[in-house]
Amino acid sequence: MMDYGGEARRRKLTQERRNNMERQNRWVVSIFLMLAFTLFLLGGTITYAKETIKIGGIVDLTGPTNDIGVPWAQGIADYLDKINKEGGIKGRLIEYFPIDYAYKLPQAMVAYKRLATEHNVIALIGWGTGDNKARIPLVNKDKIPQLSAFALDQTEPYTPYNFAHMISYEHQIMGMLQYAKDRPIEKGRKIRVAYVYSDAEYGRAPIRYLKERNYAEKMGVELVDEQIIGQTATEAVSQALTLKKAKPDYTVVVLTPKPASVFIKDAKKVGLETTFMGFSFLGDYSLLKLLGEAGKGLIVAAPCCYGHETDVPGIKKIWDYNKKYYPERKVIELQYVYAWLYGMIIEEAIKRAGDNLTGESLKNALETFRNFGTDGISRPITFTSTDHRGSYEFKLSVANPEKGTFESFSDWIKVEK
Amino acid sequence: MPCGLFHTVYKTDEHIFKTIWVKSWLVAFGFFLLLLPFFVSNYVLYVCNMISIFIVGAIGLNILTGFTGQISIGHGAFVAVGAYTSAILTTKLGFPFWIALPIAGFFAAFIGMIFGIPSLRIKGLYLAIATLAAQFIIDYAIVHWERLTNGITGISVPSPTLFGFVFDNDKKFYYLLLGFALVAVVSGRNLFRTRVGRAFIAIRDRDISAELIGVDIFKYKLLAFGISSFYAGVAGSLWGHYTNVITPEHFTIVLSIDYLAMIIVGGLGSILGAVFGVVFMIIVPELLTTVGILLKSTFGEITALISAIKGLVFGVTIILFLVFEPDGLFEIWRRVRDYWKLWPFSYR
Repeated sequence: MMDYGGEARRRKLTQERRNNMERQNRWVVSIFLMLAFTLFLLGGTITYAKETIKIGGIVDLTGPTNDIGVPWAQGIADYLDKINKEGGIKGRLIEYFPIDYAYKLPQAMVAYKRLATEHNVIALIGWGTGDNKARIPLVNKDKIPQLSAFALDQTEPYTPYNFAHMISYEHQIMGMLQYAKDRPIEKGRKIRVAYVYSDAEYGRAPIRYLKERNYAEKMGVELVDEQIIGQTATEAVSQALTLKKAKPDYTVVVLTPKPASVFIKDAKKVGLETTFMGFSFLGDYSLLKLLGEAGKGLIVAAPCCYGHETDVPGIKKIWDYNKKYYPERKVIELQYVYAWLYGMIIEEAIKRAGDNLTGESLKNALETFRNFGTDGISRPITFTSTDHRGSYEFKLSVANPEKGTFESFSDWIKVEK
Repeated sequence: MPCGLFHTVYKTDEHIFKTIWVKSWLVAFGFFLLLLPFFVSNYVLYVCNMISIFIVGAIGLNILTGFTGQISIGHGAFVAVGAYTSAILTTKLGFPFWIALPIAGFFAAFIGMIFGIPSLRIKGLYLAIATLAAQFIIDYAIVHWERLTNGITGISVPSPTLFGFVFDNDKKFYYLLLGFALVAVVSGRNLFRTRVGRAFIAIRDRDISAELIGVDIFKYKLLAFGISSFYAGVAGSLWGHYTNVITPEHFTIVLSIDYLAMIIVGGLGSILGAVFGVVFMIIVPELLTTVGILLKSTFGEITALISAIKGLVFGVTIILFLVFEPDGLFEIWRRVRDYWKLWPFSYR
């Protein structure tokens, strides 16, 4: 008798082995395909159009500050796109490479290396305070001017390739303390202030600067408490309770909208009665949505005009562009306006730099800015060869939860250098 | 001609490179690595350097988790200990890099051994949680011990020098880091040909049996934590001196999880697997960014979408790996290699 079952099993096994082989072949083939695809991609990046002006952006679209990082990234991309749609600068189009770094330092570093050596950008748009600072030695070495979203802080008053158009956070707080001091609550009693700030560098650096110089005391106000809120905090009850015991008249808030909304809500919940004064990145419409009624009375520093102030010529231009290309957009965030300003600055700098366009000539062109007008969006901007902070002026605005906007109520406040 | 590898003595079975072909390919690969910096941009070199640094750290974790079976979610913290030790020694005490680096390694090993003590009593998930505590404690210490660590601001770290030669650009660092990665791979591979390495594997496979055959469990578990953290410390020190700035933001739990993902994707319990895992985990996000930039120039407003789906693609890739290739990239590599070994006369 022949063992048919055994034979069949053997055949089946052989078949299976063959299938395995084929599967392995498929692996080999797919790995080769992947390699080929990679090479194709690399080839694609290298053979790019030649006559463009290359600008890099390191932006936060998916990280902890993306609530304000996204409108910012849109603003700069839109302005550069507007330049291209209008035919470029002296016929040269702009090629913009935005890279999302999710607010992570190593990713920011690798993004910078990619932009500087792979794409050979001549200017860089930066976002986070920490990664901008880490890049300062690199941009100085590579001679790539970097325009930072964050305001340059006092500890580093001048580095050749770092620029910011905005009044620094320290100066904003100084201005706010001045404002608070001028409005005493009771006669004969010093105004009580508290600092609430993020554990990220943008929060710690300005507070450290002010504390090192005992600024509050010198101003004649009393610093009663300070609290640190985590950048990704989901509750801040304990901080709010400690703050309540300190009874501040004014509370300076250096937090981005997400943690700020958490803190302000919890503060209202525990019954903290104080006037909140936020730094410039709090002037965000989304914050008011998050806060609702709790946002009433919130004062925010504004280094430029808001998107709803359409009587300002510069803001009107933003809306003209958006109505034409993005008719679905109903609000223009403050960060969008900040970023738009950088677009204006870059355009002007490229125009001034002339035909020999390099990072160095761009930097020199930027340093020729004297009271450069921005169509009323912000105060005129000045960069000199010793000071790269564009402006020392800001306005104060108050939240209007019913309308979901901020209303400017002060004139431009100039803070001494 | 033999159609396979047939060992007649144990000594040849122990060889790492078993055939002349393996050796010649290796030499070719070595030349390729040595000549690479002359043909690629600084960006590619930066990616290569990150890979080298992460290889050192990932081999460390694989020794602990892959070979000894002790899960650690605190590896990033031990990297931080190394980075900060080295940074503080070089900036505040003026030590040269070459002395600070081993001290950083040993100090990280010491801290790692302290946090390894619970491993005698607990294992599996419980040990994972205990090492998680290490992550948070060390993180907290770095952020709040501002006098020593500068807190969230971080420390700017000098570039290493050797007899007046400064390692200050990507190319110079490439060779330095390549050397360190090589030493890490060779020492890691050889560790498992020694008594200590075999004791680690015995503990992983069945700790009770290991104890019965005379393996001092406590000693070897602590040793595994120590060796693993030593690698981590060296990786941290290298990272600090390479990027010239360290802040606590880099050494969060995300880094620990990245390391774990690297050795899982690459292959637990394999030195080469750790290398593959690192290469994969670093190159894939970069490729996705490249795709994003390319698509952007073709389709316009897509950057936001690409960065949003980048995490998604990455996660899905890892899940697919775990489902279809639980033994990691190393297993794929082994299969492909075996296929070619007998090519074109393989059995069918």
